[in-house]
Amino acid sequence: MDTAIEGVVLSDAERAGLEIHKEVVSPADRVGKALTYVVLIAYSLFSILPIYWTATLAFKAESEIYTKTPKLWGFATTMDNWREVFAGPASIVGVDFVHAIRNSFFVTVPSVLLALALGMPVAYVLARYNFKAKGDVHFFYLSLYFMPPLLILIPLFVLYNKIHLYNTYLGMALVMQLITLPLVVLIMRGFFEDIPVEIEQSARVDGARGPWVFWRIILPLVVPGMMATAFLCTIFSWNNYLFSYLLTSGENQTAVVRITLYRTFTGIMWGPMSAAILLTIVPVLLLAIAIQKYIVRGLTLGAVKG
Amino acid sequence: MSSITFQKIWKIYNKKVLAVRDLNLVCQDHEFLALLGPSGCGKTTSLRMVAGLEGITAGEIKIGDKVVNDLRPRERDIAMVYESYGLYPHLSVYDNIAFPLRVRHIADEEIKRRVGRVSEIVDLQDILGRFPSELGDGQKQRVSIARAIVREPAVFLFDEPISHLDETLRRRMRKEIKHLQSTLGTTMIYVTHDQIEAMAMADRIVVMDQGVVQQVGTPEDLFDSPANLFCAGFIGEPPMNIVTGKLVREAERLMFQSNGLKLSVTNPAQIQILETMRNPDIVLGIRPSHVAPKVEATATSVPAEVYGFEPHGDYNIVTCKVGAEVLLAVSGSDFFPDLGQPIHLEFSSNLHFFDVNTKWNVLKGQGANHG
Repeated sequence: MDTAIEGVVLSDAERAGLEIHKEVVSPADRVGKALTYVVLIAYSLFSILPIYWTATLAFKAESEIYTKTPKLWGFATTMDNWREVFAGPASIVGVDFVHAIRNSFFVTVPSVLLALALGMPVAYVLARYNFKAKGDVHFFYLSLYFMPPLLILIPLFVLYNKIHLYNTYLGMALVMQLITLPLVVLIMRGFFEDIPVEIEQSARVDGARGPWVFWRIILPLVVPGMMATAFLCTIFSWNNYLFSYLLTSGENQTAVVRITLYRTFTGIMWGPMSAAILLTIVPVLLLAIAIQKYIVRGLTLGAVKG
Repeated sequence: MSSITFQKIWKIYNKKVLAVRDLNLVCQDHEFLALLGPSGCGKTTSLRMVAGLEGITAGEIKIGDKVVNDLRPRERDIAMVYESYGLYPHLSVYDNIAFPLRVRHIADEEIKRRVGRVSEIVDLQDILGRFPSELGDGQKQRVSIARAIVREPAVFLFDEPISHLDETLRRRMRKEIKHLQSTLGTTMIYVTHDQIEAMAMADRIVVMDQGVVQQVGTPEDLFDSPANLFCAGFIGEPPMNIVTGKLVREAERLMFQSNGLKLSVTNPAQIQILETMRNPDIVLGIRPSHVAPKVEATATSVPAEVYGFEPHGDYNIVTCKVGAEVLLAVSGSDFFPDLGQPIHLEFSSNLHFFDVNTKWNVLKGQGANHG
């Protein structure tokens, strides 16, 4: 939050009479500053260039893609790749990519909502109450977070087939909890701990019941943190390849898995694949822009708390 | 409006840490009662037990005639003000004040009327639309007080409400809170570690130390007849002079003698008790305001040397060396001694004597748990 500088406003006449001290910048400082910019710009290029490269491919015809000297700009654009991606079942490779994006939504949204619904109460209890197994509960979620999913893939595959969760949205939302639930618990705990306990106590003394305290007092105060956490969960869930690859098949697979289908037996269809990649990035990007305000506040708050 | 009764209240944390020991106390209806003591003395714990934020290990607390031990905070008809304000940061000043009414599902019209009236009382009309983060410390605490009084509860519980405001604001809030309590007539328990606050505001003060009540009385009681050394040292600014010495008999008169100081005891009640004491060792207490520094010697004065000097405008505090003892004395504003200057101290007859072992005032006996 900004702190306004209060004080007496200096009149122009007074200021004119002042000999204002000039800060001296040494040559070494100048070089240091310039170097900082060089490093930052280089890193920005390093991060952005692959995405830009992909974006150019999505608008290039096959002949442009396979030239010996690929152009980063000034090439002939075509919408053919996008037509292929949006063609649905009638596409050349037979991939209904819009349907795949829809699958990603149907997996991500429930998995994030479920993680928030299950994880927020756990985080709240860990933040506010003292009990014997508190450390153990915390460690349990931490260990979920650190456990390589590969360890349990085979039993999970067998189990999902047996209890008919294989190839279902519900099954995917559930298995995503391995990633999203620990995130919610571990991050939200810090946000709940930041709320002064007096606020809750005064609400209780003022006459509010538990649920009222939670919905009207606690929840509004953790909204920035919750948004940032939900956003992280969304990214992890949306980008998850392994679970969808293994626990769903065919038309039910999520976008990140379906992208690979543009590697056909006749060759890689770079153009449509790039278009599909961009299409997969867009929803997450839009979400990030939509809740940017919360993410910045949420992530920086968390960063300060450590 | 209600009285508050503590009956044999104990609070023990984790089965071993004692916070409050056998507290027996009645806060009368309409009374302004201050709980005073250093940090960790059990005053805040006692208050939180009344609020229901802290469980009661043993004993009963009654608000009015009702035992409240097992009632939730919201069922006790109390309102609390905290040192850290406890405001809801996401609600405007208006909504903060309205909160206790909203949770009781009071009609919007009525809420508007009552918030309007209360905000006038505590002078917040102009900032009802602001948020807590935009307020100064004094304003925040006034919002917190407004939120407490808007519901017209039976009891106010104030937990160090003005301790971290600056001096000017504290002075102003002291007046406002006292005025408010006496106009509304609501029973109030006010916790503070600042004896000046307690003395300035409360009808009666409960001095606590290490979980035990040391003395209960009006501000005058506490100032004029401290029950023990703890109260003697805690109440009064500048603090009471404490001198360890012996009782001696000289020419049929009972005298107090220490390393450099010799005073005769003139209070008949004190003489009567002191004469029966077997152990001649005794602790003398005398308030700085009862020690007058003079340039000229008088018949009863004691010679001393100026060791330090603090001008306070209306009065000056002179630190004097009398033999090996260092004593504080209060002089008029026209007394400006030099350091090291020989002066003379005139002691009033207002002496307090404390038992060396029990630390209790010899006139009070020991362990009296008044109230």
